[in-house]
Amino acid sequence: MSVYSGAPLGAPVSYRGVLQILTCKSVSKTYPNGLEALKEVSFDVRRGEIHAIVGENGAGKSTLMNILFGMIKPSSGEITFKDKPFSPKHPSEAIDLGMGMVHQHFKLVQSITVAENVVLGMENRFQNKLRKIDMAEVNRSVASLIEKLKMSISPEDRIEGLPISKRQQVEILKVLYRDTDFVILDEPTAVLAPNEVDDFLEFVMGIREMGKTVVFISHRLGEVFAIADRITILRRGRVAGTFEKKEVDRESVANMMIGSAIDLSEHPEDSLKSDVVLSVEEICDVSGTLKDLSFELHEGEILGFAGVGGNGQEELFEALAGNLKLSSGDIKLRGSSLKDHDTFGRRMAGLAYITDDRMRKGLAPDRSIIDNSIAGHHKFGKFGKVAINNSKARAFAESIIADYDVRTSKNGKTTVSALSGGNMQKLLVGREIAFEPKVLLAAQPTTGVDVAARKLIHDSFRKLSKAGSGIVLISGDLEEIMDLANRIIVLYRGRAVAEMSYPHYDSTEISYYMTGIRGSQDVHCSNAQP
Amino acid sequence: MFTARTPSLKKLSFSLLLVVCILSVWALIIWFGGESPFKGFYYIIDGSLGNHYQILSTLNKMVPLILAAAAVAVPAWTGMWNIGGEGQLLLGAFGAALVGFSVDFGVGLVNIVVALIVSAAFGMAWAAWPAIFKIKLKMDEVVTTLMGNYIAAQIIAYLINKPFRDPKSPLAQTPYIKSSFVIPYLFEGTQFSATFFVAIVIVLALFIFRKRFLLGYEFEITGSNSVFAELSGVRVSKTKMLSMLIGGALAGLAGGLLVLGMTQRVMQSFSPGYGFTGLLVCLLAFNNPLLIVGIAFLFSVLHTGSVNLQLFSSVPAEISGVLQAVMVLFVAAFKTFIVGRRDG
Repeated sequence: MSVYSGAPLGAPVSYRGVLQILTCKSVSKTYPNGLEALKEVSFDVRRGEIHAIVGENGAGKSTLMNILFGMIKPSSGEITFKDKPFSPKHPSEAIDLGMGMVHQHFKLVQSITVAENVVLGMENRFQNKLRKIDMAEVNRSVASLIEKLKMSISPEDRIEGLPISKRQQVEILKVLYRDTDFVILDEPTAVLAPNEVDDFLEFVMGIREMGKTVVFISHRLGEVFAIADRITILRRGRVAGTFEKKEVDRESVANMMIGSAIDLSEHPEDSLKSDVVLSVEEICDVSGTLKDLSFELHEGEILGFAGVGGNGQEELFEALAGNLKLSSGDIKLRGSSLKDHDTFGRRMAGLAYITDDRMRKGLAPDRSIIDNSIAGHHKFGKFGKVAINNSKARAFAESIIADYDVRTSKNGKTTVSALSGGNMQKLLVGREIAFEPKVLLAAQPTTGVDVAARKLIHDSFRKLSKAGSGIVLISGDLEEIMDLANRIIVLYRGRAVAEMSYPHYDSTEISYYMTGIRGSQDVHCSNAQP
Repeated sequence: MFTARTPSLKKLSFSLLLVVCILSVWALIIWFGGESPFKGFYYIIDGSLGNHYQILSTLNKMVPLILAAAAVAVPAWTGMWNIGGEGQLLLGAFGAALVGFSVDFGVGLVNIVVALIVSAAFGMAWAAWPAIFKIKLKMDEVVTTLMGNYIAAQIIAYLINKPFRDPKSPLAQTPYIKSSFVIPYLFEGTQFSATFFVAIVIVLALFIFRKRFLLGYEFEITGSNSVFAELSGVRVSKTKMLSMLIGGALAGLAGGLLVLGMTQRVMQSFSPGYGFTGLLVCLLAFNNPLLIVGIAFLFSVLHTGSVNLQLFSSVPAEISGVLQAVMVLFVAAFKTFIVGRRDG
């Protein structure tokens, strides 16, 4: 086995990544339904490096990771891990060899504590002679790891009370607790707010300093270039190349991922129409998070809500959607109050919802694409009043599949859970835009979505706004908001602390408001519109 | 409604293996009972399907099983557990009997229809309170419906012992229903009646309801993801409530049909556990109405056939319960194998 195999000829050898820890040779995977997810994939990961794997949704990243972690078997090909042939039949075999994986969708037990989740599966180590688990000892041992990793969670917190970024830390704790030296992170930053991302990346580099190998899957090339030593690009099931970071730049990697240059130069329009579609008047919600929030959304406007996670974004969405009651204030759609309308009543009045959690709220994953496409629409009599007109339902689903490039192995009868995350999201976006809403509420619309899908979703938002709809865009991705929004409101502790309109955007300034360094006292800052 | 059907080879071989496993354990049990398995199976088949009397009696046995299973299936579509079929069935039976011995509308068909509607209403009422408790107070419907069975049994015991006891009878039972309420036997020598067709029509209706109707679609997405359903405009609480009421009505109807078509009165130990057997049938049929008919047929065959088995061998008739239980255990185990493996 050649030490340098996998790296391009003449590539400078990184000082730490010299010996391979994992080698894949011609790994292919064809699913029983005929989908060729991986074709002759070969690459290697070296000891102690951060190896990024980038690729579009459906490029085969998840399949590859699931093969490495023993969740599915490859159809052909060889994998070598730590100099031994590696074909795990079950994740426990991979774990025993020192491999750990942090999934994109967290797999934690909600009702028990952090420490209990971390030791779950190995709790018998803490049993005394009477087979009772020594909880104090469990908490102590987990606490010592938390301290070592400089995390800010307590072993006794319950998962259900933790925000998403903390839950992710628990997932990582769980992995590192098992003496893992090979960590796979599946789109770990997708769920994080911008300010959390930097800390997280630093944390990942810290893991590398501990001598561990990290495989980092991400769509965000900025992050990849910030921390990765080497980058492997997957495109439609094939390896488009493995490169040292220095050999490539973002644009070329993006091109290799998608196969065509993407236009990153779209800009929001800087003129606003005067008609107000949605006016929110000094709302406070019953949970006490939102404090006298007011804003107006104009026809054809995309209004972005920036903010660090947990500053009222979720509450704003739920209050607008009618799931969270207001204690004061009012929400008006074209002048008529929505206060007494429930979620569906608001939908009838002209709202549509892209929820932040597609698996839990936005889709029914175990139902078919057709079932998921017609949801909500079925209330408008499009597919019959009493009985369902199946051919109309199918045609409707197929129009969404075609218009939003939902890549499915078969057709509308495929269950949604068989789609990749990005394709699920495209389906969700397509369904909601098909309502032709007066106001679209979009929360984290491109979480865990690749560059091409993101562009498609952004384009569809622009198209919708050109057609006169207003869009409330709540996103943790500041870049996305700056690309799309005509105006930005920054939320901090449930208040609107700043408002600025295109083109007066300055990410540094916004980040000051997001983190509370500036703002709070003057709601309309210097850039506020006239 | 539109689930993809991929007949994968793996699934097929799994199902085949399942059948082989069940049959071989059945054979073992019959063998332990002191009979050669092949002869045992022969007696069971012969006793349940040997001649047209036996076939008709087997089909007749299916009626309460089908309806009691449907009573579990419909709430299950929306994610509700109705373990209260037994109690709902008892109350439904009593409702039918009450109408049958106390009023008369003159026309036989009207009498029967009214009695059946009342039986469904009684069953519905007994399913209504657990549903309300669940929706308003978030009380677990598994507990309330299950406990409801015992309360219902005691209420019925009181009613047939005290206020509605047949004065002419030494036993605790209601008077007979009037003859104009009786659903007549269709053939000499068997209890087979039109009730069978009522059950089949109801199952077909449920099948079409689930596959073809908007409300059926709403039931299914509610059961699949209620948060999603609510966002899609489904009134989740109302849908769940409705599914429980339909379930209760179906169980009540099962009781009503038993009274009008067979027993003609309600007595102590009226139901040999139809509600619970129906629950097993529904579990084995994965809430699918058409499969319910098939599984109910199988249960029925075992039940009538094992009586024959007892006649000709040393194996007691109660063996049918054991055989059913074996089937449930294996199906549950295989289900976790096939379905549970998916998310690893």
